[in-house]
Amino acid sequence: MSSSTELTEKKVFLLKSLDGVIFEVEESVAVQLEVIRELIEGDCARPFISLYNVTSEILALVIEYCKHHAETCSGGTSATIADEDLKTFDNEFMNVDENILLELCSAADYLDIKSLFELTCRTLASLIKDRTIIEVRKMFNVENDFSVVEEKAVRKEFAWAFK
Amino acid sequence: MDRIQPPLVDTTACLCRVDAGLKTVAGAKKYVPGTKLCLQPDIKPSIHPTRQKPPRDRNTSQSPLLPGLPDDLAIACLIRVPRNEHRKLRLVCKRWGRLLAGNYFYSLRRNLGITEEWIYVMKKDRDGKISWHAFDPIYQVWQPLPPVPKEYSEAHGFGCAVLSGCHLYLFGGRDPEKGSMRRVVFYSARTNKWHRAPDMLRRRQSFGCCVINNCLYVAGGENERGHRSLRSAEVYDPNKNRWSFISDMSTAMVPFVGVVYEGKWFLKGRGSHRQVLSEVYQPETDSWCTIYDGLVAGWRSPSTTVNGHLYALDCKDGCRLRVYDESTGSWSKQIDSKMHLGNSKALEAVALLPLNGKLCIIRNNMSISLVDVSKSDHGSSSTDEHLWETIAGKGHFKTLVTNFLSNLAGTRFKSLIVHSQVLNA
Repeated sequence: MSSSTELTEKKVFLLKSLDGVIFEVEESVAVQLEVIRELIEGDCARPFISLYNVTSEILALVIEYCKHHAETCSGGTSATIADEDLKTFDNEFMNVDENILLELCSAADYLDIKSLFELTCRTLASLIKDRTIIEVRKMFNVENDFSVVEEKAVRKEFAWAFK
Repeated sequence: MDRIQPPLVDTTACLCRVDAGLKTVAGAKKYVPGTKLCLQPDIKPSIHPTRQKPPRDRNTSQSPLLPGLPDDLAIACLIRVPRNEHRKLRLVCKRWGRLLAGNYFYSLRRNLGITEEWIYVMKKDRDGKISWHAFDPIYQVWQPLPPVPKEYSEAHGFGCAVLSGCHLYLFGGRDPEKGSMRRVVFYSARTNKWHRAPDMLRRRQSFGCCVINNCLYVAGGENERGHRSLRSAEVYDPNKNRWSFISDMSTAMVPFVGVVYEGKWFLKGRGSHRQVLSEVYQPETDSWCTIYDGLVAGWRSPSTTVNGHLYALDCKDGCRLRVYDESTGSWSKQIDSKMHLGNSKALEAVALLPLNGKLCIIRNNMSISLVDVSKSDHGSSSTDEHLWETIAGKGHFKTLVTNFLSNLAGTRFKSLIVHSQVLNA
């Protein structure tokens, strides 16, 4: 396998997800994953790279993201058009449920993809906007550990804000 | 027993307060002076940091900030939540509340360069009561704030300044009952609370103040006793948490306008015989100089610097600005919106502030305009109307029309703005 990929013009790397699914990615995509770039530079990327913290479902999304970004950036279009295009893509791409977002965020951190990490963090932060306290707890599965008395005390501290 | 207490504490080897603990520890009687009491394991172990938290596992078993994410990633998400949602975040659960109440959260925001600037406006109503509000220029909403401390709720002639970007200080002034004050308090935009700071060295009111290199300078003003104006000046360094005197001014004065330009503090005010005086202070040499022309010639309105350029209001309602021309040493340039609003007290522009590289004009009726001075060519084009942008209308408090009518009817305007500042968090 490795000998045949070296013959082709574009180098290809194999990524193995937590659940054993193997993905084939081109070098231009693979190097966006900072972790993998290091492995490639250290020549430790054969026969395949095992990513123990990422499921195939999430890895597929990550690769889709990196692919689009790699293509857009090398596409030769003007910078402003590329920017616009990436923005639309990012917005679409982030249109997934919270649990996927959380996993993407964690994967972006693990694979060290700065732009995706920033994007997922910002998206998660924006989910909190326009939601009530109860909705935020429910969405992120955060338990309300304030007792009635404690919650009252916090609200009292901000009494001027809830008038 | 009490007699032998002091020598027991070996201050070089011990940071804990043994003297307080001794009274409760029976074994302490056996101690001879000079022993390192605090190292004895049977004496008040709780004050030793290493033993302070035996149930360590409580930390590890506590629920994550965001289930499904490690805490450091959860924090990376939470710090990106816009500032006007922070009050809500505190009420989600205890851990979020604790995170938001600490300095850590806001220093991360600062390091990432994602802090947001809000405008803080302090006003005095007809009964002399001080109240204040914050304006979020991004979401364009007014935010409630914890009330000002009691000492300042009806004070006159107090100073107001911002240190470290997020601490708003109130200092000096006159309390209607207690007279001139030395008191200093500050509000932290991070904790959203008021705190006490060391008193000033002199009681003073109606003085001048400024911030240079994150140090707070105050000068002149009056002291109630004898109604004499003051020559003295002092500086507060928040790192040292201490006030100290700087050189006296050449003449005593009650300043009415001041600005920091190129690291120097320019002040203009009235002397003890009501004569108009101007002085400039240089912090490096700690010296005051009387000046008569240049920047101070014809200068009398609120001023500020944006990107190194000095601007002043040139019209009562803030529809026109003057720009100081360094090369000629005069206020020869203008930026004019040609949109005159009127001369009423309500429409009077009371403050100029730098906000995200733009110039922010605040009027008595709480309306706020932004002027994009960076796009101005300083007066060579005929109109600069396009540079003006209103971010806070009059709607929230009182409409322009009712203000206008109440002015026509001869009633005094409801409230006047006494201070405006910008805080980052």
